[in-house]
Amino acid sequence: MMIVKKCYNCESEQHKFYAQENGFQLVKCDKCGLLFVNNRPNDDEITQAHMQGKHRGINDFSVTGSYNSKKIPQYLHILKDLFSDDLKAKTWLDIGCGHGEFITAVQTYSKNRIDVKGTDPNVHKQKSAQMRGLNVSYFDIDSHKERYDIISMLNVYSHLPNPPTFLKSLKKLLYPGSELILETGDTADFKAQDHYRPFYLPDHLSFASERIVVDILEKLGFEIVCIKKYPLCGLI
Amino acid sequence: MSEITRELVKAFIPNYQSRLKYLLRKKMYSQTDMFIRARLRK
Repeated sequence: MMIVKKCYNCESEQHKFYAQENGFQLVKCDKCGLLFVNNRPNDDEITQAHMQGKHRGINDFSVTGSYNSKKIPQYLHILKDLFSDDLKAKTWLDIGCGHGEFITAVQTYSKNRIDVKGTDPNVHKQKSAQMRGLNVSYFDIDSHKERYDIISMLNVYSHLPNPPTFLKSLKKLLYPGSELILETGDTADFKAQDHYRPFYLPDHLSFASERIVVDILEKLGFEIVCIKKYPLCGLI
Repeated sequence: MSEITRELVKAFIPNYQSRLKYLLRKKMYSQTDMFIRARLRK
């Protein structure tokens, strides 16, 4: 267990209690409004939890789940919203690809013109995706040498101990002009009583807002092409 | 969207894809997933 004193976005040490769940405390940064767990597992514990898909707290829980084909039409709809007819990429890396539903959607949308690769730390999800013939493995981003036209990370942001550091490390896997597709919730500005539950702590380590994520991306040298919003899956 | 409204929509439109289309068209939601498309500056 480690105590997080500073907000990873604005580095303020001032925050207030927001909610608690499963033995973990979620606080809200006084300065930028980011919600983050300030008594999180240490980095090794997080790595182990992601590899096995099992998170420990007062109650342990598994997040491996199973392949969900219903996600694919939803992703196709989203890809159309994001790209219209403007998808010219040849290589694509999906980080945190899970069982591979988004990879399948990209392949379908591009009529297999794009070489899509996936990476996921969860060994069970890797096997599940590989069984469907998808090019999925797990590799260390820092030592990875390849570059891609597009990198996507869906439902990854909230699981990262320090998203700005991780996003900075992705820049060397992109060409100038390459693109990033980042999906996460836009929920940090909600009052605690209105925020969706459960928070799934400590699998989720922070909750951001559009303003916070856009600020981080712009500071890292990205320009925003577009932002599309959809109902949170669990709420429909 | 209140819990009651959500349940009503669910009852009248049981199919997930149809419900998603309806909710997107009516913008009957507040807490959202956002998909950000960003380009690394040259």
